[in-house]
Parts: sequence; structure tokens; C-alpha cells
Amino acid sequence: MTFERELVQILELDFDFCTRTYGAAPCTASLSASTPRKCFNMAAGCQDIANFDKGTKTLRYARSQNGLPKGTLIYPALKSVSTSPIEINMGGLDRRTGPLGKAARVTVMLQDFSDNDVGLDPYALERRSGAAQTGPGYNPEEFGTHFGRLRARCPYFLGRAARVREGYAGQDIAAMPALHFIVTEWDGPDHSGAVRITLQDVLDQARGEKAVCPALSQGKLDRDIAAGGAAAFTLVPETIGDTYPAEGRASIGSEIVRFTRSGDAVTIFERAVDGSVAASHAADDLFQLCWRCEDAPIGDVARKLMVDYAGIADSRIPDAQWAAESDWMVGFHLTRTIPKPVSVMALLNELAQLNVTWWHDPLADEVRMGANRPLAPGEAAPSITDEFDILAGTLRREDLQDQRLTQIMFFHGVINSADSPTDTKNYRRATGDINDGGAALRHNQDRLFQVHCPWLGGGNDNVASAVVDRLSNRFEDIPVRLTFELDAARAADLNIGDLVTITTRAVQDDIGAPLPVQMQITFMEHAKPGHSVKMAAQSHGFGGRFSYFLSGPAPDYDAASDADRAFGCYLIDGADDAFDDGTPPYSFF
Amino acid sequence: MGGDGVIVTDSVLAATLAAAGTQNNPFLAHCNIGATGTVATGVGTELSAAVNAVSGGTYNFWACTPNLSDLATLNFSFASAKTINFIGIAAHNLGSIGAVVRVRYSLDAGATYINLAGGDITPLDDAAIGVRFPAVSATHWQIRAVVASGEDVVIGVALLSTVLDLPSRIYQGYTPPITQTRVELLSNLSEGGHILGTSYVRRGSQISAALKYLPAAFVRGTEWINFQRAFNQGRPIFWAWRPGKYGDIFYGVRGGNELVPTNSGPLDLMSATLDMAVYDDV
Repeated sequence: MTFERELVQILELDFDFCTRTYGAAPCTASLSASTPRKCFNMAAGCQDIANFDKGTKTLRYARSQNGLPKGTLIYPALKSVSTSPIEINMGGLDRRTGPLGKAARVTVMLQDFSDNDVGLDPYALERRSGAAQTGPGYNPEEFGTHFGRLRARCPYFLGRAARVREGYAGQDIAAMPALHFIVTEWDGPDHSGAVRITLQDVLDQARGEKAVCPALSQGKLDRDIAAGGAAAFTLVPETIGDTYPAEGRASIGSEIVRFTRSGDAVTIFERAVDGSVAASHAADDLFQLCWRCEDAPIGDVARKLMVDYAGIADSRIPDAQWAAESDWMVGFHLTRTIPKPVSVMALLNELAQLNVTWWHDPLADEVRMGANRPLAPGEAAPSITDEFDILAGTLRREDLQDQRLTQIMFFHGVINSADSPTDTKNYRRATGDINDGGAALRHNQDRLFQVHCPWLGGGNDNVASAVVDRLSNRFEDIPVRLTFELDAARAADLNIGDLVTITTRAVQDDIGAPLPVQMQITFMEHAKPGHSVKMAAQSHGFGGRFSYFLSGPAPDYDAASDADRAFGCYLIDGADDAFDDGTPPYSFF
Repeated sequence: MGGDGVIVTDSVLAATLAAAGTQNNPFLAHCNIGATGTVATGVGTELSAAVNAVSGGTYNFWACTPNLSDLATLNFSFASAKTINFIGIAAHNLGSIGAVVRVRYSLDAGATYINLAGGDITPLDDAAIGVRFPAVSATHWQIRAVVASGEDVVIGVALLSTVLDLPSRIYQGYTPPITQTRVELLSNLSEGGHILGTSYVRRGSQISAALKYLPAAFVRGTEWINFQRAFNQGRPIFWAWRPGKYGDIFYGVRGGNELVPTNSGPLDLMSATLDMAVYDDV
């Protein structure tokens, strides 16, 4: 439906809510001088926390408008929902954001109101009669306000699930598309009753102040250790050894060692590993467990960081989508030792410099992975035109001068894992590429880009070359960024990271005709939820004709069907610059 | 979309009003007498508390699954008899579910009930319902719905009140909200001029009623002063502008300037403007 859509936007907030009834077994709470009133079935104020049985209570808020479903409690307290959406930064060249791009941030404004509390307090009617307290009954509507009470009863709101549903009148709430977030801030109500709640996507859990890898260890040396040679000591405090593996890597100061452990007794059998320098250590020095991956696929490493260290649910990682993108990074295997706790977000940002990115898809509530790649053979790039799709007056073009690249220097093969991963002196290898973009008859000006990658162990020229070539290919010319809006129905099948073909007068050929350009969607904002979607797309720039190597028998090029030629690649004599049908040679990727 | 409600007037009262020539004078009702007593589900399985129906809000509601006889009742009881001559229902689904509604009172503490006003009411839509009748004093009152479809009954507002009849009718200048008057429209056109889609948001209706020729004694009377104070402080009311001719009845709250009667000059007559934001979701 694209006409007469009656827009409805509903905020859902999930709260922990006890499924039990006050004083009914197994809940042992009872009214007394020390507990003069019944709880509100929330953890704060629970009078029998051992028997708190966690369920979920979802509170819904909408604007004061018609079209809301009758029979479902929806508080008309929503004033506004403003969104700063996800923006991916493929290649990590946009210096305004980290290599991982910009996370979603939603600010919700609500207006406090007086409420009879029936929807929130399971004992609201007993408050009136007096049965819920030792004192006389009272009318909750005459005491306090909805959000004032909610905040007092539920101070533990951080990290709880929140959804912004965007649908149409007549739809079941459950059928309305939901944007999934977590609550990260709550302010108010203030003197005017305004409440501001901030929501962010789940990758917020990977931020520096919230998640580190490895976790901080708690064990210390019980004695001094001399520089070099095997060493044995006891971990203190007592039994802390149980938090360490039987064998592994650890750092003491700036030295990385390998050890075995039994109980609290530790034996160091290898010193100064991973390029670190042997040193003497003192009693009470921290014995920090290192995190290490060896020859691990990049997807596996990212998954481990997100799930094990940032607490992102494994169910939020779509296996099939990650596997499909991983096909473009075959051989991207990583080896690294991380000696001290580092922000998980910082580590993911480093990984993103390998021409891959991750973002949270709020509609699917999944963390998606995307490789910097061309269209796969047979993959369609939906067409968007300003004739039929782009909303009038919304199209803007921006030329991203600062994202053009002519020289790429990729440093890898870290020398000392305990030293700075951003210091060029700490790398033994460099892989580079210089394209023609800076030539005298082209831009006549170079733009350099450096990548420091501590994830390739002692060095990996194959991976480094692939990263450099892809960056060089995609960013040789000045990327173009288009921002525009589409009708919500037209945008429904599009998502961040999708490749599209855009035909607009904002990008013309040399005779002035609109030039179809392959672009990648980097940003989507539900500008007017249910009505229009604002998005940005960046030119993709992968010039060339890409197909798969065929594993089995295939017809000659001249006998091949169009489908065969689109899927499989054919080799051509080096002296020729086109096949007999005039099409150009295939490219390696 | 949009509905102007239904007003059911007891035949005796209708004859009295016609004889006095006041059947088309506007009336309003604001006394939420039900909130002063006990409200409870009588018959049916309560899904959402009955007390919501007297909260005044249209967002929270009494919801009830009818019993096996398709019956659901909302009961009001008071420690002492209450004199009532109007029952208003708003923010409901009675039309959508095909309910047949009766409003009733009991003189024997709820053992038996007596039907009020024209018997069964079969609302065609979910617009507001107003039932007028000669004042009755009783301790027990009931809204009864028979729902052949067996669907859940939802009532956001059930107002038991006395009516404030205005002394003069509105002759001209009133804009009845036949459909919602507050509708925000969004249209999408492509760069190429194609019409791609439209969306809208309805926010109920706005009413402005110019009340003229109000005698000074009326404006200074207890009933008007009580209403004026309650209205200015945000108490919701039911409002009907020409009840003998049109079924227009709306539930709303003050939606503009304070209600402040002004002396109009001749004969000490007063005038006032009633600006309201009304619930209008049909």
C-alpha cells in the first residue's frame, strides 16, 4: 500500500518483571512494619529477591493520535523520536568516523503524565482499598506521575531491550516492523515532565568503556622473577589460579611469556615470546592472561570478540550472511597476541581496515558483515532513478575528495606484540600500491593512505595485497556520495550495504545524459517513519568484469550462453583487449 | 473515517424538551460520578481493569471477554444513591464488534436492573454514545453489552453524569467535525513528477463553539461555575451541539484558551467560546 497510509509509531520498552504474586508461594514476602507496602514486581523493592522470577513487561508509548489499536495499552506520551542512524565506512577512509563507521543513536522524548497505575502496578486496585499496604488506601492517580514512579521502581534500565515500531493503522503491533535497540541513557522527568531516553544499537556494547579483550586478570606474582630463563611462582591471592587456563600466554609488564599452571602454581617455560623483550619482574606484578588467535578466519575472530567479550548474543549473528561475505575473504586468516585489555571496539576498528565492516541491522536485529567487493556474478543491483524513485527536492551530491587514494601503504608483520600497533617502526613488512589516479594527466596529485595491521602474525603478503588492491581499485577516482529520500514502500527491500544502480541527473556522462552508477548504500534513516526513508549511497568504483573460476567443463566463450559468461570467467589472449563480441576481458579479484 | 456519534434520548425527556423548544440546545456533561464509587466487571472475564473506564483517559480501558451467553457488563455501585441523567461512552469498540448496548440502573442493590432510555442501542460505529434520560437516583448502575460475535468489549470512557443544558442553541458559525479536522498529510512526488504515495496522521478534531446569549444568572449559577472551573482545569466532557437534530456528540478536553464568559452588552447577556480538542477515532 502506498496511498492513504495512516502512520503509527510505537516505542516499546522492556522491563524485568516478576511473574509471581506478592506473598503467594514461593514468594515469601508479607506486609510488616519493615515492609509496609507490597512491591511492584520489579527487582528494585523486591522483598524476596531469592524468589524473583524474571519475566518481561513491555510498556508501549505512542504519539497522541488516532489509529492506535484499541484493547492494547499504549500510553500517548511520545513526543518525538529522532535518529542518528548507522553509517558504514567501507575501507575505513571516512575520517569523520572510525573504520567501523557510525553507530545508531536514537533519542526519544516523552511527556510525563498522571496515570491510574493500573497498567504498571499489579496491585494498583489494592493500593486504593488499602490491601496493598499497612496504611490506608489511596488513589495512585493523585500521587506522582507515570515516569516518576517508573524510574523509581526500575532504576536498572541500562542495556534493556527497546524497539521503535513503525507501521500503519490496522496492523497488529507484532506485525509492525521494529527497529531494535538497547537503552543506554535515561534523563528525567524534569521540571516540565520531559523524559529523554537514548537508545543505541547492540554494537554499543563493544565500546571501550563497556567491553575489553582480554578481560583484566586478577592474579599477581608472589615473588620477584629474574629476566630470562624458566621461572616458577605462585599466583596470589589464593585460588585465583582457577581463573587461568592450564596452559597459555600471559603478559608481565611488557614481556609476553608462555606458561603452564596447576592450582596457583605457575611455570613459565618460554620467555619473551611474540617479539616481546625479556625483563625482570617484581612481586605483586600483574600476571595478565593474553588473548590470542592463530590462523583464524576473520569472521571467527570478529564473532569471538563480539560474543565472548562484548556480550552480543550469538543469535544476533546471521551465519548464512556472514558465510556468504566470507567467501570474498578466503585466506583472510588472522594471528595475533593481545597482551593487555583493549577496547573491543578498537579491535573491531582494526579488523575493519582489512576491507570488511560490521553493522547492526536494526530491523532484523542482526549484526551483519560486509566485505569491500564488487557485485557477485549473477547478483542484481536494484535500480533507483530520479525519474521514478527519488523524492523531489531531496537529492544531494557530495564529492569525497578526501577519500580518493593513489598510494596505499599497508604495514603488517608486527615485530613486538607488546608494543604499539600503530607505530610504523613496529612492523617488518609493507605492501603498497600506486595507481594512476595521481598521474599528471589525471588528478596530478597523490593521496596517501596508511594501514597498520597487527593481525597478520609475522606478515601475510597475500592478504595485504588483496586489501591494497581492493582499496586501490575502489578509490582510484573521487568517490561520489548521493543522499536522497525514497518512498517507504520503495525502500522496503533495501538495506545498508546493498549495492544499487542509481541513474540521476546529478551524475551525467560527457554528453549530459544521466549515467547509471553502481553505488553502495551506506546510510538509511527512517526520515518520516512509514512514509519516507533518507539514505546515502557511495559510488562503488570496482571497474572490471568479475566472474568465478569454473571448476568443471564449460563451453568455449563463443558457444557460451549469456548466463555462462556472467557466471564463469574466460581467459583471453594478452594481445587482445576484447572478446569477439566486443566485451572487455575479465578481472581478477 | 470519522463519526459523529449517537445520542439516545429517553422518550419522556424528548417530549419535555420538545415542549419547551429546547431539544436542540447544546448540552454537556462533565461530572465523572462513576469515579466516586466502585466500578467492576459484572459478567464476563475481565482482561483490563474496570477502573480504567472511569479514569478519564481514552488510552486505558476496560476490556472484557463476554460470557458464554455473549454478555459483558460493567457495574457501578455507590454507598449512597447518585442522581444521574446522562451516561456517555467513548473510545470503545462497540460498533466494530456489533454489540447491542443497554444502560440500566438498579433499585435493589443490583438484584434486578431497569433499562434506561430507548432500550437497546446498536451503534453503527465506534463514535461516542450519549444516553439522556430523566434524572434517576440509584446506588447501582450498569452498562450491558451483548456481543453475538463473542469478541472482547473495550470501553475507554464510561461517564455517569448530570447534564448541563445550555439556555440557547447555536444558530450559525459552528463547524461540526464530520470527519477528523486535524489530519496531517504527507505526499511523495519523484524528481520526475510521478506521484509515489501519500501518508497521513489523524489527531482527532478541534471544535470551537461560540456560546451566545447566556443569561448572567446562568453563568453565575453553581452548575456553570462548576463546569467552567473543571473545564479550565482540564477535566474531559461530553459535548453535543444540536442534540435534537444530529447525533453529534464528542468527548474531549479544553483545547485552547480558557473558557471565560464575556459580557455582550444588551440585557447583561454573556458569551463564551468553548475551544476543545476531541477524541475522534472511528
